[in-house]
Parts: sequence; structure tokens; C-alpha cells
Amino acid sequence: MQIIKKNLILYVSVFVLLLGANIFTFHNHSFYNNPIVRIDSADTAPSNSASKSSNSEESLYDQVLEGRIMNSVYKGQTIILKNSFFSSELYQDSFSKGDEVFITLNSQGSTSLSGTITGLKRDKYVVLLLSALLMLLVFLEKRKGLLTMISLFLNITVFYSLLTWYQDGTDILTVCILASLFFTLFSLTFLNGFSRKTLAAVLSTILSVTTTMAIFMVVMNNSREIDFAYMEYLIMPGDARAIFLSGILIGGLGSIMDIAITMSSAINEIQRKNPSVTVKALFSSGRTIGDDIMGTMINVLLFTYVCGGIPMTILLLKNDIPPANIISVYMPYEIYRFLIGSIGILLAIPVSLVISILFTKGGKHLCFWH
Amino acid sequence: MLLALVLILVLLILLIGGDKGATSLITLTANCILLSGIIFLIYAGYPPLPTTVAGCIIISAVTLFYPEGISKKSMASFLSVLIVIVLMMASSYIMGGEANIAGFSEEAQLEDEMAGLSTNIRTDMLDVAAAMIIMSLIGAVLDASVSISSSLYEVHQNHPVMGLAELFHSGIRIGRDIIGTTTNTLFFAYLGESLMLIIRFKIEGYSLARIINSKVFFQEFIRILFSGASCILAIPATAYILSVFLTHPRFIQRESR
Repeated sequence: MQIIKKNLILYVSVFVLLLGANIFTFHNHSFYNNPIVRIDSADTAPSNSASKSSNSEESLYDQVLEGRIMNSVYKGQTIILKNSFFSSELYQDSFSKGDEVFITLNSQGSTSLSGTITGLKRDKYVVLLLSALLMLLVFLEKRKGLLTMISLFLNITVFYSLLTWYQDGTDILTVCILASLFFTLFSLTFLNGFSRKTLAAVLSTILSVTTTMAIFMVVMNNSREIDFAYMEYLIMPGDARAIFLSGILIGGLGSIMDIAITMSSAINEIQRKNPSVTVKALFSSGRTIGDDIMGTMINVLLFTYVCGGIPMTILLLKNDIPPANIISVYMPYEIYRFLIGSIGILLAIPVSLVISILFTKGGKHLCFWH
Repeated sequence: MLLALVLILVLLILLIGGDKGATSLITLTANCILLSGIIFLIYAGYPPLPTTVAGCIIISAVTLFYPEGISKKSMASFLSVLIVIVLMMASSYIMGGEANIAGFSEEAQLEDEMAGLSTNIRTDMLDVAAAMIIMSLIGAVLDASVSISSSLYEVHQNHPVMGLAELFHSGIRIGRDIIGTTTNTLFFAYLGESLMLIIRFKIEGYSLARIINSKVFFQEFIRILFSGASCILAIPATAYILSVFLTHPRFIQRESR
């Protein structure tokens, strides 16, 4: 009864909080400086500007959008906006009734207002999706769901603040190594408590990540330099290599932590249930667990990494760029990430198994931990 | 370099995984081929959404049925993955349409690689975006679902007398242990992938308001969220279906025949 009541309080408070956040983001126009327009009617017609559509097989559409300004000094006034887009919506968006868009007002001192659309107001969708996920997590996991979200949120906030060091001139790889140490220590202890089990997982994670990165460095230094010119969202070309390495380091961290904690919990659990279990038996149990998780975890990385490049790949293929070039020139980065991440998963299995056994069985040799 | 890494990966799989490693390797290769196949079919003009759903069904079938054949375990996982895919397909399409995630963001449009490319591709980029979201999450859903079904099956083997409700709750409890680590895995994988973008936000001094309203952020965000949500949904789905398979008289009879 006590537990049901406690859960109910948790559900209700989370629900009320999320409801509030959603109501806020759906009505927060006055907090923005840029004018926001809610579109009341959208009139879409095939474009008749022949010059634009003659050299193209795609149809171009023109939109006349009528809307109301939701904030700023012009609040409440109607405005007519123009927009055009191609049917595939590759670069330009189409808009419809009910959409809210940011605009910049054209400052030609005429009597009627005119403006250009700069983008859709997406904050409400961000909050809506986040709330849905949090609700799902809390229903399934109760308090632990909340803790998981808090941990992820703190991780990203700390990371974003640490990047200030990079701005101030510290090497990005150094920043990311420090960040990774923090992520490992914090995530594992925050979600699993401070114990020998967690300590074993932390140690295994650090060791596996280091080994994986070492292997990658050796391979990278002994082969043709990768061209980073086509990296997504490239901003600091001089640092591209270091940023790429840092991305791989952080990307592999989650899966390696996952294996390390799974392994050390399992070994710990077997030992607890049967204190007289032999090292050999522990070892073979660990191998079975490793075999079971290996395949599907590599699968996770395959789809997570490679699928991000799908729209780009299709655009490139449509431009008659041969698939071999796409893989080797335009998007080898996703494939490298996948390969290194998988190598990390594989290395983490024996490493965390040995360390977990050392921590449970080698107590006599590791007495300084007491 | 690509070749060297592939070689290391294959060697490690065989070394660490043994026989089971060989099976994983075959499944993995099949999935790579299927994934490229789907992308190629979309390029060739097949409608992205049906192609993706069909492709994901084949990927799930290969990943689940190849290693252990058709059993109650793999069947339960297969059915629950199907349910999750259909649910996510519908919601990603609606959400993607509402929030205009189709095509490329302004950040991506300015890149070198975009220069000189014809944009006349006659493919609905919203469909492609929804297809991408579904394909990104299929690996994670399969992982979550397999973990639940194999652990729950072990529980049933050890205590065959458990009823439907008891088994289901046991499945949810196992799910709680899995979901924390799975969200962690996904979170860091996406964080590592988006590192360049995050650095860009930082250096160009994007405000929080500009970040969360931008298309480029939303495109990454929706992938993470849908991957996470689909893993969470897969847990009760798999737990329930497998519990029914293991306790309902009709399915028990079928096995003994």
C-alpha cells in the first residue's frame, strides 16, 4: 500500500511537471525576441515562374501564407508571407495551417508588414517528445527512470560546459578524455551506487577504452591519412582529426560501460549465490554472457551509426556518385565509428571478465581495497 | 585502413566469440548487405516507407531466427519488434511531418560536399527521414527484445509453475535492469556521433533557444528519442507475448504435439 501510494505520488508529480512544461512551450512566444507567426491559412499552388522550373524535373510550389504575429510590438497583426519549395523538400520546407514560424521582418517602411521565414518553431515538439520518453521511463522504471534521465541530463550539461576549455585553447582530445573519465565515474556510481562491483566496472571501462583507442591509433598511424574534408558539420578543419578521435572515444564509452557493469554484476551475483564457485566456473559463465550480448550489441552500433548517413547517401547516389566513392570519400567516418565501437565491445568482454573475477575472487591479493 | 579494421574486427569476433562468434559474424554480414539493399532500393525509386518496413522485417527475422531457429523465444521477440516498428513508423512520420525534419538543415547545406550536387532527386525526403529513424532504432529494439526474451525464458525454465501475471512482472523487472544501460549506450553513441555539431553550437555561440528550434538539432534528437522509446516499448511487449506463449494452454499443447 505504502509503495503504491509512493509510486502514485511520483507519477502524479512527474505528470503535472511535464504538463506544465508542455503548456509553457506551447505559449512561450513572448519569451522570444524574434517575431513568431502562427499560420492561419496556407495557399499552395504549382509555381508558374517558368525560369525556375524549366531546368528541373521536380515541381516547384509557391505558397502564400497568411498568419498572425504572436509576439513583439506587432503582436496581433496579420502578415502575409511567401514561401516556395520543391516536391522533395530537400532544402526548403513546406508549411501548413497551424505551423508556427520564426520570421525576420523586412524593414521597408511600407504600410503593410512583410517578412521572410527563417525557421519553424520546434521547441514544443522537443518538449513533447522528451515528456513522452520520460513518462515511459517513469512508468516502467519508477524512480530509477527518473535517475537515468537526470544522469543523462547532467552528463550533457557538464560536457557542454567543459567545451569552454576547448574554446579557451585546450586540446579537444584532452577535454574529451577528462570528460570521459567523468562520464564513467559519474554514470556508473550514480546509477549503481558505490561498491566493489562498480569499482570493477569503472576500471574495466577505462582499461577497455584505452586499449581500443591504442589499437585505433596504431592502425591510423600506419595507413593512409583519412581526409576529413567531408566530415559532417565540419567547423575547425585543423582540429578535425582530434575531434573525430574524441567522437569515437565518447561514442564507444556507453557500450563499453554497459558491458563492464553487466559483466561485473553477473559475476558478483553468481559469487554471492554460491560463494564456493571456482574461478574456472566463473570464467566459463562470463564467456557465455559475453557470447550472448556480443552479437546484438554490435548490431546496435551498426544501425545507430550507419543509418544517420542515409539521406546524404541517397542524395549522392542520385547524383550518380559510385557507391565505392561514397564509402571511401564521403562517409567513411560512420563506418570507422562502427568498426572501432565494435572492436571496443569485443575487447571489453574479456577485460571486464578478468577484472570482475579479480575483484571477487582475488580478494586476498587485493586486500588493500578493504 | 578500412580493411585493416575489418580484419581486426573479424579476428576478434572469432577469437572471443568462438562458434557463437561465427554465427554473429554471419548475421552481421547479412544485416550489412540488407541495409545497403534497402538504401539502394530507395535510391532506385521504391517507396521509402514500405521498403524500410519490409527490410526491417527481414533484418529482424535474420537476426532472431538464424542463430536459434524458430522457437517461442525468437517468435515472441519477432512479434514484439514488429509491433514496435509499426508504432514507431506511424509516430515518426506524423512527428517528422509536424516538425519538418525532411531534407537537410541550413548547417548541412553549407558544406563542401553539397556543392555542385543536383537537388533534383524526386524522392520525398520526409519519407526518407522517417525511414532513417526506423532503421536507426531497429538494432536497439532487437537488442532489448532479445535480452528480455532470453532472460525471461531462463526464469521460466527454473520456475515452470509461474503464471502469466507473475512471468510478465518478472519480465518487467528484468527490463528495468536492461533499460538503464541501453539508454546509456544509445546516449553516448549519439553524443559521439554529434560531437562536431555540439562543438559547432558552442563555437558559433548558438543560444539554447536557437539550438532547440533548429532542424539540425531536431533531426538528431528525434533519432535518439525514438531509439530510446522503442527499447522501452519493446520490454512490456516482449514480456507479455512470451509470457502468453509460455503459459497459455493452446501454445503449450502445440509444443507437446
